[in-house]
Amino acid sequence: MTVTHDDDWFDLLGAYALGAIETEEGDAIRVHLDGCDACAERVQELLEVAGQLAPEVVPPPAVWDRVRDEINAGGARQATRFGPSKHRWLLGAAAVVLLVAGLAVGRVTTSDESRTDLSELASAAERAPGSRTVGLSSPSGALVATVVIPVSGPGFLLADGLDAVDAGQTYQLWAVTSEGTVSIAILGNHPEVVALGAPGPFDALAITVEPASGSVVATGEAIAATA
Amino acid sequence: MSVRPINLRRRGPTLDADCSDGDLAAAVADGSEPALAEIYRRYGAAVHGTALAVLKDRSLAEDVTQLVFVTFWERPDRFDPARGSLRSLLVSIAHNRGIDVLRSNASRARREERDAVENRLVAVPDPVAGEAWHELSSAVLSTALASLEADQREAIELAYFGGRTYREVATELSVPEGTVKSRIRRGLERLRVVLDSQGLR
Repeated sequence: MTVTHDDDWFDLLGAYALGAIETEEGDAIRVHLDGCDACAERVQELLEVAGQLAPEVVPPPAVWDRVRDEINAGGARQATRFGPSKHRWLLGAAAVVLLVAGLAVGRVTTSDESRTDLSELASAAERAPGSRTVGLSSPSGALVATVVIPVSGPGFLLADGLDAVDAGQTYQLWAVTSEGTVSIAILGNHPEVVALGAPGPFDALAITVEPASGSVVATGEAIAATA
Repeated sequence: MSVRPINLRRRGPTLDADCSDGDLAAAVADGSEPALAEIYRRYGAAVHGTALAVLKDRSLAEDVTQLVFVTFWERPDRFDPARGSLRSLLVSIAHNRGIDVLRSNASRARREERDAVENRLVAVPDPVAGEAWHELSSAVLSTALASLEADQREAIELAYFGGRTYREVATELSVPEGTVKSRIRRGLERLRVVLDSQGLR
């Protein structure tokens, strides 16, 4: 497409910034933008304006739960495109194992039927040679959760006394490492059995209560921790 | 057995609420779910508001909001801080996906049916009533929008929230296509000046 940088062209870029063009026109414009920094910058400015047009509306908490479930179910991305990070527990590994077990991964934390299967997987992991289990206790000393760490494959958290918290909150599991405290998993507001992925090294584990979308930094004291 | 509570804040993780969008995007590329959660906390409302404004259907808007953040999780490299804000990238994905949904036949039929009902109720021939837009908008944005010519506002509204192409807008308003494109561009540039002067971006 031959482009003359005149008013007609700039008008078309305005329509483009609003998504108000035909598909073929959009394709041609994108080709031009790839090679023309001035036009790309102009479109970006218009996109920033367009991005202010809609009022902000906070989505219901369930939407973040669905995002979280979906990205944890699709953990293959890390394995194939980015490689494992030494700070992360490979949540994807859990999904792979569950796929092998013939489960619909998206239903892992929502269906009683699959929760039973998850419990069976956790039991199998606990019995596997070399597996270790770590207890997390409340400040008063009551055991509230056990984390199963197999030699390979996914870990599991088995809750035993994590009472349901408000729907606007979630339990979150943290690893305390020499390089800081890192989030391992957002556990939901009433966790029972949660697949964690293959754990990395840590000094201690702890559980806090956070807002439903989870936190980047733990915002409260640990309600349970390893000894 | 007793447990000494751990003050997790003191241990200093590398991500916090003050870190830049670029840092968060890099952490997402490294597989950090809490980094995505922080991005969601910052821009979830802008994304959802956009999807809702386009689709006018809570359930569909929630689906699009979910899709936007999963898409970003899968392709965080689409964000280039040198080229634009993370907010505008996410909002633009939401808008594009919203338009896709809108242009699919099923939802278009549903929407037209609903519009028809609304039209009967309020007896307004235009399916997208301009006043509704103002009611939904923030005070600051309302001020900016009020500075537009009525025909500029109408063209932007039909295109951005109505999901129409400029050709469809031209047909609908019975004006030349060039006029519609020109109204859209002049309106956007006017908004940019006003929003800049109010420090909104």
